[in-house]
Amino acid sequence: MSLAILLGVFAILFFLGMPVAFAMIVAAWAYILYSGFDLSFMALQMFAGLDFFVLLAIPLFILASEVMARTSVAQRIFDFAEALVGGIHGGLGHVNTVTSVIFSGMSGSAVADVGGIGRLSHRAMVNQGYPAPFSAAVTATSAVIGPIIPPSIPMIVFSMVSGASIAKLFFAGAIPGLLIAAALFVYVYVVAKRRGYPMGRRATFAQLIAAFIAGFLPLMTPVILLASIYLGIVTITEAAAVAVLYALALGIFVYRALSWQDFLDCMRTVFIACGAILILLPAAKVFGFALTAEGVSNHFAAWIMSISDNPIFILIAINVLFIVLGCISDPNVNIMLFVPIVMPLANAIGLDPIHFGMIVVLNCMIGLVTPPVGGLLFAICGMEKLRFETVVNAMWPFLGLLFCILALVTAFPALSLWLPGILFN
Amino acid sequence: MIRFLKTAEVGIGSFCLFAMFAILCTNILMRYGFNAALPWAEEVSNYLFVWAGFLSCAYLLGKDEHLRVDFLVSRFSDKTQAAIRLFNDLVLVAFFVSMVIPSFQLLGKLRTTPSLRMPEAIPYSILPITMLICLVHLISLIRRHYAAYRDAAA
Repeated sequence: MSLAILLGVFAILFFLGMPVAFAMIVAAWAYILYSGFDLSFMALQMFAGLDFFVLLAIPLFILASEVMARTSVAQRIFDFAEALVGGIHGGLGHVNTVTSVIFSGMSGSAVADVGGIGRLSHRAMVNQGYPAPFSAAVTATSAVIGPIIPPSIPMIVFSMVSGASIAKLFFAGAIPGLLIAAALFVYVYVVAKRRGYPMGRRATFAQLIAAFIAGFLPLMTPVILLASIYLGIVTITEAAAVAVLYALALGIFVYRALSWQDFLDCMRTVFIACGAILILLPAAKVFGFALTAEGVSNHFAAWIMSISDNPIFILIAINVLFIVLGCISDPNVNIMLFVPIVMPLANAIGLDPIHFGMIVVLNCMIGLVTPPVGGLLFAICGMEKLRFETVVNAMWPFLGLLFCILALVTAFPALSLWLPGILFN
Repeated sequence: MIRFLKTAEVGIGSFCLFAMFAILCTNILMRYGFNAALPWAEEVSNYLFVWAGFLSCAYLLGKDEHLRVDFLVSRFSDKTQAAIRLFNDLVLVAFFVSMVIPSFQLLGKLRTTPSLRMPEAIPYSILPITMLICLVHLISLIRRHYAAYRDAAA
């Protein structure tokens, strides 16, 4: 009965359009009132939901990309990518992908990628004559790479709920992220050649070197970030602070494009942006408490195992679950709520926690570009005043690509485990 | 009143984030520069983060900008949508009202923090503060949503 109250209240409020986090909080509240727990205990749990040192990295990574976006860093990365791949069939499409890959090494959030460097690439593509829905689809798909290649906010959240090593998770994402980029490259090349999309002039070697030198310092950000995490000099949280410091140093001393006022504005933007993610943590904490108290994860594992205990079936079931969730809900919510529920199942078939994390994060990121609820699609449609349906129509082939990569990552653990394995053992 | 509240939230919240960042940087410098890490750095920056987080949540509630799923609700008429929004607001009012006193009571049950030995009630006081701020925001939201409902009904 109490479980029915929890899930029923949540479902009703969720579909009535109450903010997802509050729907979770109110459902847990109804559950706690019904089962006679103390409400001050609920307040304590909400505080505990945010009381994790690793979470400090979330606003810091947003701050780093915010500072970068306000200086000429985005343009420099774009220019470098254009000199590198602009002269191939589908030129600016590849530029879009390459900038996203580079930028993903500095920022941990896909939506931030679309807002910053994605907009730049999208507009350049449209100006050169690419159809707007196609370039929006390229922009959204390449932004998916953002949180797969380290650093990554969803992976921070995953490591918090599962206890998996965050450094290993970060490095696990590198190869799958590059795989997505490679798949995009091939697809855009073929489509652009067949449909005769415009292509830029091939840059000379001297121009490429010039663009590389102009972009050298920003291009070093991912290297510094990953090296400091790999060498264990700093914690993830401090690595995020170092990334901010580096971005500030570039903006203030090297490019002289950042005033004190700009920095304060960045702080304000980060403050406003981070609440949308952070509210989910206390919410998932109290909701998850209720689920745990009801033993849902054991029931769920037992139920799936009763259908079949074939590992392949269970892997597919996990993927289907997260794909469906991804279509209707937000990545961080899905990770917070469902990873604890699915975890016993993953353990039962001996799935490596890092591999499991990679599958979940990839699923959740694909969920950002699936209709009817896709955060990245909403972001780009809102920004560029495009119709949601036209972008969704252009998205289908890209979704096909992403699902192929997901299948590969699920089927071949080595894609996620090889790199952390050689780095950390 | 509401405008003042929002300005205060943004101001205090951004300051917390800035202070958190500054403390983290100082700690890295102290550890590698002077070989003297600050024992309280992690604790204080953590609490500053929690404060910024809760204030940001309250601020977004006031702006009506939290992540929601409205693909079902958006199929209804404007009037029904406005009515549903009012219903949601009232549910939240009931929740926050019921939480104010328990979250104050919680403050009395806490101990002191591990490294600074300050009463835990100081950082945890953000809980009742958040509950109260959210109530103020909800009152103004209800006024706005009620006006929208009347417009749609007319």
